Amino acid sequence: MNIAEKEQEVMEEFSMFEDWMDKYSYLIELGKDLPLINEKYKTNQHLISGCQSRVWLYAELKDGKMFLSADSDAIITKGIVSLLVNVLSGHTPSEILEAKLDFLDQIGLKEHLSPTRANGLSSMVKQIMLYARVFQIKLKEE
Amino acid sequence: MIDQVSFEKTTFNELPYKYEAGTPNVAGALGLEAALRYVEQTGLDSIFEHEDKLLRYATEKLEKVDGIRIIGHAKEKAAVLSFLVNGIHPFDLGTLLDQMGIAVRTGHHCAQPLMDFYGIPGTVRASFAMYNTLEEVDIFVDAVKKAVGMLQ
Repeated sequence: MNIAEKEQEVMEEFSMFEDWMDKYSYLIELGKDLPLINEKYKTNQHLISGCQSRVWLYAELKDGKMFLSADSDAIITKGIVSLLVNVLSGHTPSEILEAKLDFLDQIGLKEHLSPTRANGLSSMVKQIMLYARVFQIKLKEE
Repeated sequence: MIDQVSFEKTTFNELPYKYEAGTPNVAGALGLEAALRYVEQTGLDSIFEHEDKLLRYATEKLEKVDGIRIIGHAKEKAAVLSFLVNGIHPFDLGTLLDQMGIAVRTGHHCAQPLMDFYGIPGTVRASFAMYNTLEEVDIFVDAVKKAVGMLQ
């Protein structure tokens, strides 16, 4: 599945939820799963700065594809983070850079992306895109 | 506000007009007047009593919530109530309360040294004003319980 297809799948999943409680319960469940990041990367170096909740992000390039792992100390943020990781991880940096990420808006989570919320999410998306850009350049050089 | 401007130099109007360039904030000034009259009419003492009542009632109810930790026990508190519940991140609690139509502030409240002092990442803070009611306090505490239930 490409990124757009994965986004579509998430949107379909969420369209099943009629009220906010179900939507957030689902996110909380997603967030409660095992941490997505290797403990050794939960350091200040991998912390996304400027957030109310702490978000750790680790990205690596393998066989031309970018793999993400992340975690957060706020459960809802963690749930959304896991959505992002599932959609974006394992694709080429170029594909990631082109991702629209409309789905976060479509499923009614746009308020979590507002830069003024300082909740780590928009900073995290920015950081992912930065990694993608760096990896993209790296790939071109090889 | 200027007096004379040429390519060689600029002189400014006398005080206070020097610092009053442009159209003054007329709507703002009139709005402020209306607000002041309103507060005066209602009476600062009544406002204080009402807010204090809300604070005491909210504190009393919130203290009974399982796992609650109220932050700040000063004797003469203004009508703000900061709290945490059992290891739940304030941002999570705030998000769910928001979904239930309740506005609170979460985080370090521009007071990081204070949060460090308490050893916490931040708090959830309810702020009561003259337009809040006791019923709203009930709704608030019920919402907190519901949110906690979802997050634990």
